[in-house]
Amino acid sequence: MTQLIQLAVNGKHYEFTVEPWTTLLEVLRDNLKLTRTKEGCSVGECGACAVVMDGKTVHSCLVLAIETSGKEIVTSEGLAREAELYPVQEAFVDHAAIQCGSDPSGAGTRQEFLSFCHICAGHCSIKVTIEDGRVIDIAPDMESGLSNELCPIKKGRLSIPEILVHPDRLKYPLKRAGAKGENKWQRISWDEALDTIAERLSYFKEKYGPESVALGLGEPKGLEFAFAQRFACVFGTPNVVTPGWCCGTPGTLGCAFTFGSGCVPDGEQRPALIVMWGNNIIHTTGGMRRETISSNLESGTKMLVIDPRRIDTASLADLWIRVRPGSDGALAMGLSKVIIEEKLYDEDFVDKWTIGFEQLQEHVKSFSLQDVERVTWVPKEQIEQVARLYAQTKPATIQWGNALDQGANSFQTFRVISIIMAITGNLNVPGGNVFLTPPPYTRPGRFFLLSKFPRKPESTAGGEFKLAIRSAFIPSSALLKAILEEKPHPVKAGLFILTDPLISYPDSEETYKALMKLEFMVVFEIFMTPTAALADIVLPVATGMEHDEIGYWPGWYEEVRAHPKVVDPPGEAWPDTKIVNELAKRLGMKEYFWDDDSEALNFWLQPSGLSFEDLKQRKTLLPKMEYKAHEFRTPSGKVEIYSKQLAELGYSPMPLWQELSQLPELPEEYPLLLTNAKEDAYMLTGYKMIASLRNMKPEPTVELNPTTAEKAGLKDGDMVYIETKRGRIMQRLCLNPDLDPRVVLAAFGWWFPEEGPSNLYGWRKSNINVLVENRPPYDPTTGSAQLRGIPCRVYKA
Amino acid sequence: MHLPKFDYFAPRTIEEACSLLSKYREEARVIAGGTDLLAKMKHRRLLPSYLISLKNIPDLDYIHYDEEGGLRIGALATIESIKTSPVIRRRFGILAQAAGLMGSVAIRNQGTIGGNLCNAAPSAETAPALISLGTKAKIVGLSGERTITLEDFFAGPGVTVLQADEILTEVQIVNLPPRSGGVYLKHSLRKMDIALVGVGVVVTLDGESCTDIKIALGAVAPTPIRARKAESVIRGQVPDEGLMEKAAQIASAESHPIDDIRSRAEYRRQILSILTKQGIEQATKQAKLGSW
Repeated sequence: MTQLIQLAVNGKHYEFTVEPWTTLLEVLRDNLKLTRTKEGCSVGECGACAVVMDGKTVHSCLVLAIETSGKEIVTSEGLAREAELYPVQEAFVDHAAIQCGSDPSGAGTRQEFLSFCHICAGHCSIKVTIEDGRVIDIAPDMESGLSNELCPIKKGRLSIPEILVHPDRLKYPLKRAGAKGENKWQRISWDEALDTIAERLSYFKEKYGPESVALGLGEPKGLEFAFAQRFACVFGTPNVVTPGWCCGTPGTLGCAFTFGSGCVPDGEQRPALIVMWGNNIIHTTGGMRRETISSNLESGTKMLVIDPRRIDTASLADLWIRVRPGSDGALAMGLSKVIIEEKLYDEDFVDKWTIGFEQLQEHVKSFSLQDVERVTWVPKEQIEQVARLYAQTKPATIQWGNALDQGANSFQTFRVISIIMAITGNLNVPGGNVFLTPPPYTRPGRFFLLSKFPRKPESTAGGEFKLAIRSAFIPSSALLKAILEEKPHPVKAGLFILTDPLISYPDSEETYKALMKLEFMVVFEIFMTPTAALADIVLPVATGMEHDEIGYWPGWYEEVRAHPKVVDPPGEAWPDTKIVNELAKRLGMKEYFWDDDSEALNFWLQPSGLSFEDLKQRKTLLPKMEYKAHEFRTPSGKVEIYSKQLAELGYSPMPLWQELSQLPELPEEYPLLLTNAKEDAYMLTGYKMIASLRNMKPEPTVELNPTTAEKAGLKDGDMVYIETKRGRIMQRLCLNPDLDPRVVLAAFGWWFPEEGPSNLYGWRKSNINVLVENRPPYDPTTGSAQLRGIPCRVYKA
Repeated sequence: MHLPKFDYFAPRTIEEACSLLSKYREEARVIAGGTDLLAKMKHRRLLPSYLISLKNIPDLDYIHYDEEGGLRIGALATIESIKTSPVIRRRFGILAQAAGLMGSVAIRNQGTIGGNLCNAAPSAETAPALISLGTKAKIVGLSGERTITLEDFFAGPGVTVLQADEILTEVQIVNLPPRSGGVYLKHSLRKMDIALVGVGVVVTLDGESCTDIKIALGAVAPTPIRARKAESVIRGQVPDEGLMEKAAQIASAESHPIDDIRSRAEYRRQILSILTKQGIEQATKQAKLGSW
């Protein structure tokens, strides 16, 4: 039932044919590529899509395109360049809409601080307004010249004021007073909590060895992760689970073994081509800054998006490659084949600065592009097109994401991508993928004390994953095995910080069994979560803005930020670093810790000659890009396409087609392929109890192609079961005609605070990890599991 | 997030709209500003197969005032136009106040008073103010028109008394006597958020004594409600500290708030009590100044 509409946008007249359900936002971005109007929450809460229509501000996500005929639209692009950065959106905020504190304040003093948002890895630069000891607004920092565009959905701005005063924030140390998970708690003092924990950990250390105590850590926010790693080293346990097996580390390792260091897309010099591969950074996390990408596109940069899902960045792209979930390594091999066979590489560079090119050249003969098409679902012609585009558009940069980390071949996938970057001359050149020279500070490895207390594969759970151990973590699968099977040695106790394993570890049922089996479990948390509900002791923690912190994550950006304290934490909540510090002192580890944990802030900064107070003024220490040609910190000093180092470690010295093309078969019973995407509105498993976020995304949704849905007798909006060999969950169906009919795109990280403790907050209901089996294949280097592309089926609930 | 698919009609008369509604019944929804409806459709909470737009029907977007008849507002008047209307600001200030506290400027530019009422959220921003003004709602269907008191318009959360073929076309507010005052107080995390508690109070005085009072509560029951027992404490009396306190407590007891993601019932009751007392105080003060 399409209709022709005629409207004016920024003074120009246009005609479009649209469906009734097309929104004005979709027309502006998909048809007109006007990127400065964003999709945030999509339901009129966040203002990212605000435009002016016939002189009035409206949410274009809630305007039907068919109702715009004859109207005049003005977007941010149509406003004066000299105007403030987000004129329409700031006007929207200035109407005191987003600011907290609806009741008129009395004689309260208002103060402003510059800081960084801590909700996601983007760490946008912000100005925080405090009134009467409460955060009432978080706005983009327009003063420092740092990256300040908030995510379109503004999740930090909308949620942080609420999180800081939420009535459900944990305030006091709690000790389990009934059975595990029974939700009977006794409030105890910090002294009792820490004494109990110290006593228990000493007991296990003595009886079973220090390795019987494991740590589970999540994404670093401040220095708590570093404190916990240091604690683990001194205490003597190598059994530390971090997200390294599923996030970031495979990429860093792939690059390191190829050319001697990590790399990042150049955010300063304009690339001629941006490849967005397996990420949705504009909406969900950090990476290349959104406004950088916008202005690059406006200046003529081409964009190529590789994703099973037509993310909105794909609709701005010159080319969208709809790849089979989990087959990115095979696609990368296909690209390398084209680049090599069509001689699209830099011959001089390859000659002088690489080792093993001939082996790779020989190897790519062993498979055809038809093979690659069959495995990746990407037509041969597109594979050629992408390879040529990447190799011939100079300079080109690749921004990759989590999807590439989460496979049983993730390390080798990054090896191929690293090789491709190097041989096409896009490595460490302006506009390419660049090496960063870090500012001077105490790097994590040093802070952890890894040289003094090295982690050894032979005495670590999951020791077979040698590169994980080298990177100071074990995969979650190894922890579960050590708890349940007591192999290679028993783990009896666990400390969990920044993490909710019951929701985030693959195989939730097995994780549940493991957590129930642990003889002693301590969880550091800001809210009660499914994992915290099973603890013996729950410790209330101060979150971002409630204590002075240094943020240094994601480490590969080499940025060190001051996150100052601006409000008090609730009740008796302590910073995680203080808890670890005081615990360490009680365990005879005082020598390696501090009288007061805050001293570590200056210690971290020591090499720079700055104090934390100095950093608060400066806000940040930034890395340098030096673009030094031909400086590769590999054993050979060259780009190692063939890596002897890897061979010596017992791994494939070169990426191999037969390994990268190994993907699960689709059995008749489970004919569809499950993958997932992160939520715009949340940060991983967190914040489901925060009303301002929950309003925007109230339920987990699963996407299916309409033909697939029809075959299964399913309608848009139905509650459906997603089932694999391992289990089943329920999510709400949203039809997506752009999805391959074989793909099921589910939501990650869901649990339901409102279901209450007796149900353990509904951890089984919609949690995608219920569907994943904790068994091989694992990436042999890091223990990464195959999380993208799991056989499944769907049916009506 | 994409919208689910639907067919779209743009009738040119109210009759046409009512006929379409009668034809498609539960499969159809009326769309005015679309801010509530389209958001719910994106969340798959509502999946109408047909949307019937009222935007092409002339003469539904107006604010008319005369001394005799009072105020008549067409269902398609936007919330922003109500907020900024000089006559509403001067003579029915409580309504302009409530309109101003709803959502953001963008929501107010798109959203309509008819939509806000027909969406029938327990926290509907304009409802407490309108109810405490004694508003009547004009409803048109295939079999004719009817006019009912607004507080009888709501049947439950998200549910009105509209029959399948009926459309709300107008709200009517008679002039208040001189020496009347009204205030709408809202408690929420941020101004633009859904109310955790909303209280509308309109007081009319004769001398020091209150001749009439209406107290309407939002977000503390399945629908917006009148706090009649609380009113009876004040009506006919001189509103003093003690009575206002008593009325506030009774209003709190008359409410039925729930625990939800935004707030707890207990907290809502406490706030309700505070806002009711403040509302009676402020409305009484305004009435003394005889602004109407």
